[in-house]
Amino acid sequence: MQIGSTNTSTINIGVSGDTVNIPSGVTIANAGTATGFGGANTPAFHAYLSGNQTISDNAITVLAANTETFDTASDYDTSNYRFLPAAGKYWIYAAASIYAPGTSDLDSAQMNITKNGSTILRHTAPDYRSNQPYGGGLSIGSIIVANGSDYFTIGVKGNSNSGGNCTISGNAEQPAYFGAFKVIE
Amino acid sequence: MSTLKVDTILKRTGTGTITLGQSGDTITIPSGATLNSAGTNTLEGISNTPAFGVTLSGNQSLGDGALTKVTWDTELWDSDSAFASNKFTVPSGKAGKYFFTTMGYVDGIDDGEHFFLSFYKNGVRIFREVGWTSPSADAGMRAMASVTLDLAVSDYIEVYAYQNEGSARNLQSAYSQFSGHRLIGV
Repeated sequence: MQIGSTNTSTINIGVSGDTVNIPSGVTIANAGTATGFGGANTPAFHAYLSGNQTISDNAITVLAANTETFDTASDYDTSNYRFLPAAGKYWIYAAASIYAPGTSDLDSAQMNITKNGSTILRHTAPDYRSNQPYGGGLSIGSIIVANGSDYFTIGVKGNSNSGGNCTISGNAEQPAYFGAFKVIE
Repeated sequence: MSTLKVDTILKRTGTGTITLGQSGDTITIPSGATLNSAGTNTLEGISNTPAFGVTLSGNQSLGDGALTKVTWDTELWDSDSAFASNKFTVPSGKAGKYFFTTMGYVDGIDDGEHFFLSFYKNGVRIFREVGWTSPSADAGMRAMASVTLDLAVSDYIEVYAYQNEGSARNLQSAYSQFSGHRLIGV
């Protein structure tokens, strides 16, 4: 049986309030486009640090990812660098290149995902106190649960041997960024 | 427009394929209506595909002071056979936003030298991803990076690695991977 075989048109199945049942064992095969079925990785956003950010020595500082490449639901605030999504599960990811003020000066470094200001996930770089590098890359990623009012930020810490401030590199090649997308359930 | 009012649409005889519409038609489920699938569906837009994951079958030597294309030769998964010749290429009809992650590890780097990974799009470096500047004594350097990219059909993505130890160093296969998948509705 073919429905819609004579003209290119819109075919409506059901009206508001109807349920169209696809019984168990039936397969819907689709080679076209389907929308609105709930399987979307949104909300989603990606933002990066456009210029270098100076952070105080040995203190967790919010990553100032201030330039969005996209933000489907305007959930990311480029003023306070917070992601405040609707309730759901999200994959949150971030990275940053951090440098000490001296070339053999970085004792340790750390990146956190924070929820409502408290750390929920931490990545700590190797302890280099006996063999310090100039700098390096931090990255983190995890599925987190948001309740609709939770907000998330990325914390970065650099501990220099000299006690001087560290720098997070920022530019258009995105050595520092923060992003997220919803996990389909 | 005519309206067909029925409660149930069944195959005329037995069971088989019931086709709705033809190429060019739009089948609309109106707002407020529910399409309830208890069976199997392969609706485009519900799976995060194309998706792939690749790694190295053995360590890859990286020359000194040059960006080297990573030769991912072992597929872990590749839903649309879109990964080939060390790169992921967006298949026909699959344009959109993609999420990529890559990681790598090189040991024996010292004296302030560098190791990092970069994503390339259509042969051009688009991100110099996070790596490490080494300490004075030999140390292992790890890099991991993720990115979301808006890609068109036939765009391709590769990963390059860089180190400047002063001689060739190995990208360790046990700690190196490249994966990606399409995001839906983004």
